[in-house]
Amino acid sequence: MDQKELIKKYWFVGLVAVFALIFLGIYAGSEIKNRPTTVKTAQEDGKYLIYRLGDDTYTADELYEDLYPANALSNVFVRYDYMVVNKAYETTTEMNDIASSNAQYLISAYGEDTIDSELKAMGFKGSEDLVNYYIYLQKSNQFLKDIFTNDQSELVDSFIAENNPKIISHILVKVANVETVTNSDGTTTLVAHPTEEEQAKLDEVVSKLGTEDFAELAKQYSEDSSASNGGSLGYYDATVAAGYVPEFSAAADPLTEGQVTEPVLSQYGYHIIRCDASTKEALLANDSFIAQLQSKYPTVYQKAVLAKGAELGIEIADADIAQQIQDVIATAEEGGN
Amino acid sequence: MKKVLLVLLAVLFLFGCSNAGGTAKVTDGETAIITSPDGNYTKQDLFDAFMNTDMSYTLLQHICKQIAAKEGFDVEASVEETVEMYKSMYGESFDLLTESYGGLDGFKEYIRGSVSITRLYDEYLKMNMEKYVEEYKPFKAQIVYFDTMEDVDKFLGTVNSGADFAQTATDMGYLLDATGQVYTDKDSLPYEVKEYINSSSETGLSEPIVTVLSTTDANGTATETNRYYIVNVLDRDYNNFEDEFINSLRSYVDNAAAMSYYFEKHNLTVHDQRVYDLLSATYEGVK
Repeated sequence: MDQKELIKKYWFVGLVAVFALIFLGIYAGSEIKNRPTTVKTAQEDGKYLIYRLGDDTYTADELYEDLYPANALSNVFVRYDYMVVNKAYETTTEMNDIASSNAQYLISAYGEDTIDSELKAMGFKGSEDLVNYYIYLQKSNQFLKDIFTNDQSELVDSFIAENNPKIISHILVKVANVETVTNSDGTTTLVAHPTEEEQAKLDEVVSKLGTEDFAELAKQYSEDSSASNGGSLGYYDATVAAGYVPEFSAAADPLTEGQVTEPVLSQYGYHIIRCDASTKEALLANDSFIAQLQSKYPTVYQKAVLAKGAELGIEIADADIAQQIQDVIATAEEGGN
Repeated sequence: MKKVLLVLLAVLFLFGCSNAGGTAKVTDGETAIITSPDGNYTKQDLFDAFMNTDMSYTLLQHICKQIAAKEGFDVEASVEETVEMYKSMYGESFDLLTESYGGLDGFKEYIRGSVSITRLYDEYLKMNMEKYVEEYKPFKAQIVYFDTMEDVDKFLGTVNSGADFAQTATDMGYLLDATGQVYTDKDSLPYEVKEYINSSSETGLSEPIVTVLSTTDANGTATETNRYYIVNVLDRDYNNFEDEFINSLRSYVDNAAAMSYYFEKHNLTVHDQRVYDLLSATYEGVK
């Protein structure tokens, strides 16, 4: 077939190809125009440049030296902690599922860009690392629990003896009209004037105690922000008690694990308080108790990470940073933590 | 037909090419910061972690130090003054403060950067002073206000007899800067006061300027009362209070315009995509 016959036979295909080419050219041109500026690297005397300003330059090495004093220690310790904890604990399916679920929630709540920059600021790769970050948090939390359970048992005993800690929950049935009555001796007494509805609600909760799960009752009936969390108020001791109304803390103080109070009247209404944990074993299973220990003894975790790292063959090779970490721990311990 | 297909493929290929910019690397980037059987964390990794934080201020300090030197601005006196100020603020803790900067020399470099940024900013404002004077209409004045004519008459009676404006205001319960303050047209002064200032080129004491103060009480009831301003214009020539005016301008004119001007003038050319993206998000003139 000669050229003329070829064109005659395939003229329509050729026309479509030309239009496709034109369209692609326009589209590509538009994309190129809107493409953000790309920057080329440059080197001088074998060193990468960050910028050039006339004859003056600023190299990557100089920027590294400028950022090192204020940023190296925290970046390296976070990365070291991440490497140690990840190697010390296997990633379970449960950890992965929890991490994936948390990651999805966080991205939908805050947006990927925000998450991306926050994670990068912590030394992670960005939002692509979010699931790994949550897995690391779970492993880190488990490591912390294991430290206090296994290696620091005496420290925990001493903390419990000193602070009489517990984990508590409550169910609040609000009463709008609570009167403060002054007695003849000058003391005051609270007197509740519940509506029929408020009384009925309280009676219903009391009738179900002991037969239904406390946390579920709290979710269904409690009228404060802890309801969605099964009524959990978390860690409680004498220091924390000062933040509650006196009627509440007077009832909560003597509770031991598993005990539930009768309805206790405060200016807000009736509280039914439960002690969820007061024994060592139950306390150590609770994250808010662990958090209290971590807050009280911050160097315990740091020293444990270093010891575990040595055991696993993970070492901080930068002598300067290694010394800074030791100095930070020593200073914290001198301060009595 | 084959050639057409080849061209189409070439266009698609070129379009699909990655447009990621280049990123700078540190020397000896493979040096281990943390060693591990599963792979080391290196100096390059640490540098990349630094680059993912907001190091825009560190960059700006360094760039401005160089620009200030090129412009011939001597900042050393300001550096020493600022260091002395920190010494007296921190006392015995001053050494601890400088430790996080790598020592006194490192701290001075940090201060030199900050002072250079401020100097370039101020010089830019001075360069464009006529424009800002026209826009902001600065004047130096003492201003008081009273809610009753009785207080107004008492104040004016005392001042017109020769007593000091500031002292009289203080005696009547005012906290007032004795030397007067620089105001601009953008400050939150009542419309009537600005009208008075703009309608005259004189200095001196005004008659009481009546303004209306609207308040709403807890029940939502609105009340209008008179408030009486007295203005003592001390100076309308900005040349006599330029430094104070520049100080005032900093609240209104951000330094992005100043930095952009100097970046353009000195042909700042960046060779790291991350740094380019960071600087160009705020400043123009970055290449």
